[in-house]
Amino acid sequence: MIVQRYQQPLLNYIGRMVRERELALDFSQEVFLKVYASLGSYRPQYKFSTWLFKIASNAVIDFWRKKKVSTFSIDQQPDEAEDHVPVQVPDESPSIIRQFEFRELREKIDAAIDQLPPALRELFVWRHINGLSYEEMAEIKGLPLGTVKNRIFQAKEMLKRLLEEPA
Amino acid sequence: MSCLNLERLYSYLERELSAAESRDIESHLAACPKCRAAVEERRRMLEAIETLPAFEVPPDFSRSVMSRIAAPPAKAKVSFVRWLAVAAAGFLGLVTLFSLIALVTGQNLSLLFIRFNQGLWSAVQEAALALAKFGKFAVLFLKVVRQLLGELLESLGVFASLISPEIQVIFIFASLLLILAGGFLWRRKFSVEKRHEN
Repeated sequence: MIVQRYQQPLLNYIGRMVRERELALDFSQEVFLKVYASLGSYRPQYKFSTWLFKIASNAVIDFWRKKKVSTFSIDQQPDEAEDHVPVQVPDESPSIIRQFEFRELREKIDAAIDQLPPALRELFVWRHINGLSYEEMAEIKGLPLGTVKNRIFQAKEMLKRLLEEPA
Repeated sequence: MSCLNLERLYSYLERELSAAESRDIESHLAACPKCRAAVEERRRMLEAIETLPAFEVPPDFSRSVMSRIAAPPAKAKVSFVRWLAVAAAGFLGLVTLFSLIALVTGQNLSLLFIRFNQGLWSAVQEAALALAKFGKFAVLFLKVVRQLLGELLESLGVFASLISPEIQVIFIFASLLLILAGGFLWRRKFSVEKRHEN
């Protein structure tokens, strides 16, 4: 059954995107209703999860448009400069990540993910929480594979910087 | 070997590299404490991310979704009830209005209703007449358009007989290209405006 199979990944994604539990539950229900209403337009040559996340992503974009989210839009193409972070090598500064207890580190990561810009957060969640492949994400967002990989890299390094910021 | 770039370092940690590439990185790590430290802290961060708790799904979530899918659309019911309420409110409003006029002017309520009916009937008659006039005008307009189209096709036929088939083909292609370019430009303009709105 579609709902039982996909409820966990969908809620993991929507929960991270809208941040409120009750809202995420309502939102996920609406996405499933949309999926059922448009089952006729699903083409079996694509993975079902790709199609489902495409519908969910569009619903999230609509939701944020209605809420007039001030951060740069989830579907907006970041500037050229933003999209091409120069090749970086490890720096000499001591990291504080290793100083955290593992549980504490998880809590900090949990909060830091919410601070990622929406366009990066979405891809990061798909990759590291939902386990989607780069190819699937490129298909869902209609972006080149290199751009997807680059944005996920940016997200991880931004997350690391956020963790190192003093509380 | 120079220090690893971070994107490659993540690829190593996420096992996206070939065995030979991974071996190269491991031999660099054995000799470079700076890169070793960078790998270790990112490995720890990724491990923590991979073990973040999943969103807790309520046990009745799928049942509640399925019941909403199976339920008949409530919208139709609501709209019928709303129409009924609007009609009842309108009727009551009309009756109140007539009663008020009858009270203020001292006229008979039934006479007022009869006059209102007569006024309504004459308005309907005038509307029907206007509609008929409009229909006549529309038929006339269509006749003129048909005649103009006929003339245009006839002159196109004459034009085609005067020029060679090669030039006709070039002419058709050029027209198609113009239409496509126009369509593309229009779409581009529209999408740019839409982006600005957002």
